[in-house]
Amino acid sequence: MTVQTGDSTEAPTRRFDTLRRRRTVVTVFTALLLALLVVGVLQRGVAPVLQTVVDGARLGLVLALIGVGLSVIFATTGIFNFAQGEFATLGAAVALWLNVAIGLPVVLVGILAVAVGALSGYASERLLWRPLRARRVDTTSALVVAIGLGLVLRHLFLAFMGGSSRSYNEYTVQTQLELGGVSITPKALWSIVICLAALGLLALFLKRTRAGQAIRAVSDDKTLAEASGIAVNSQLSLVWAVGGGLAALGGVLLGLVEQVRWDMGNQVLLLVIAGVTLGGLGTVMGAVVGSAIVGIATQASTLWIPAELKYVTALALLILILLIRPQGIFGRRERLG
Amino acid sequence: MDVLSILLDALRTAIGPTCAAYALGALGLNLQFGYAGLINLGFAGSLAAGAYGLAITVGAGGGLWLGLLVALVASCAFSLLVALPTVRLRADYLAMTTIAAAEILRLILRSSWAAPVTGGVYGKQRFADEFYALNPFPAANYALGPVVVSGRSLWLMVVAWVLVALAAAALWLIVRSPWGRVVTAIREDEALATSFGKNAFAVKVQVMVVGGVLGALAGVVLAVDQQNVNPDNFAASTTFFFFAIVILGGRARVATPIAGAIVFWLILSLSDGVLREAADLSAAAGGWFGQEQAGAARYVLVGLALILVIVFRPQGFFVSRRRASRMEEVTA
Repeated sequence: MTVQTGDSTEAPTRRFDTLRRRRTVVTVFTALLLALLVVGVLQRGVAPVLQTVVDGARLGLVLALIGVGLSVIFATTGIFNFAQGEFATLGAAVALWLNVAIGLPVVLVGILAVAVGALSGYASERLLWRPLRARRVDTTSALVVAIGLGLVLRHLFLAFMGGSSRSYNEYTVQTQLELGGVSITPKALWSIVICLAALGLLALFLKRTRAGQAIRAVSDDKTLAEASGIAVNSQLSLVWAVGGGLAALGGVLLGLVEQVRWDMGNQVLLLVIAGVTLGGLGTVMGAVVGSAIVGIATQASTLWIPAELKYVTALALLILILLIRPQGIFGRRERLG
Repeated sequence: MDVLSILLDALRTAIGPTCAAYALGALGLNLQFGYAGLINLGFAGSLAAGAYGLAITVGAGGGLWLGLLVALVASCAFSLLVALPTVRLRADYLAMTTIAAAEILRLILRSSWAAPVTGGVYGKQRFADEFYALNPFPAANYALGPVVVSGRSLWLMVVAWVLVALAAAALWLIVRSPWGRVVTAIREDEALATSFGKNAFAVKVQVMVVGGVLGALAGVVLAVDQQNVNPDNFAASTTFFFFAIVILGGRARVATPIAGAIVFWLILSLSDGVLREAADLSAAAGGWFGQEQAGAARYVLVGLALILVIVFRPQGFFVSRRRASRMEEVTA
């Protein structure tokens, strides 16, 4: 089986152009963010800025973990999974239940939650998305279905968990470590390490294994991949399973550092989308870089604006990103006028 | 509570001002989503602009009519602000930019930074006294069939449903005008419409503004009904309710959003009544299904309805399959 990664429908130069443009966008946003941070250092001093960078990176990495499945699915099928946040909540909720009600340790329930997330990702592909694709449901309708699914799952969580925020019964209160002027709890540090490890493993899986190559081929050009003998449907099942599992892991970590709440996944959904879109949809590296920028920008904005408005920064960033690159993932222009 | 009172409550909801407000808003969303194919997930922002426009103006001593004017201007400004940069985007990107814009508006409205003007998380109350002072009905109870309402709520009901009828009539004329045909043409094939010299961008912006004005009126009716505006009443789930109504009724027909709204609220109120009854029984028996669960269940039902209708009856309940397919032939 040969796997081709080139894009058959467009001239190579055009593809090169769009890649370069994508890089330019990321560079511009990074430069803006750096400028912002420099201004912050001049105004507030080094320590608070470093603190927001670390907090933001921690948030951004979790966003990347939740969003990477959404990103690959969008690149492959053109469906924005508005229910992606619910995989994260599912992970956190399963972990909370196993931890509090049954009393298993957090490390073990984290692994179990990832398994449940992967299983539910796979189930959603088999029971919902594949039949919908077979019916040739258009993107708009698929979006509405995803919204409906999110609404159902979210309020099922509300019905079973209640409306309050809760914590696991381990690692709730930790003394902060002081590392070079930055204070960070050990669990937040672990969260960063686990995110980096999981994303690194994912990148290795996509680069090195046959299944990973097949997934990349499918996300690059579905028709071509199908023609070269890749079983597109089973690759998509794999993507949904991996995406669901990683999102569940993201949810567990988010619940560990912050708290578990029935709508926690939905609250970060738009941030997740902002991150993966900024970095370029369909790539792991893009999801990581884009989400880190969004996370850091969100936290850094609290240097100037009230903390309750920090999500406004992220949402404004999302609008800005979509406006600057309206032509979509790989620069196929669908815009008129 | 028994079966009869649940039925009566459902009937009361279906003819009440809330349902009328949702019908009014759904007419606007149907213009945007049904006729023009624009997925405006920030529709609740238009409602918020209308409701807060009225509440803030009256609160500052501006009077009812000025308040209405400000509500309409505010919604136009919000629609323009959202539409001008975004309507060129592909459908799904438009969905995300609009939902983000509405969320930004909601977060600002509920922030303590804007609280001196907007009331923050507590919102604004008691701004519709002037409206109820105009009430021509004597303060007796009126029987509309089996449902008994006070003169006060009858006044708002009459105004709201008259607004719905006027809006529907106006839309009926608009979608049959040359402008309306351009809107549909752009939804079906933007390149074709553009090649005929139609300014797709301008038409889409106009659609967003007109739909947004109807949304603002819906927001005003809701606010006047409750004498209360709260930022969290205008979250994304409100938008999804309107989408459920439009999809349930059937897209791109003038009257279907009204029928959709009535059926939607009938079903929602019926299921609410049954669920609350079940919650009471379960609570009495020591079960886990309480009022909080009953409240969540209504959203589960709306979500399920969205999925099932899209999958099994994508043209909606009040549009026959034959009509829908004939339209596809004509527009294909």
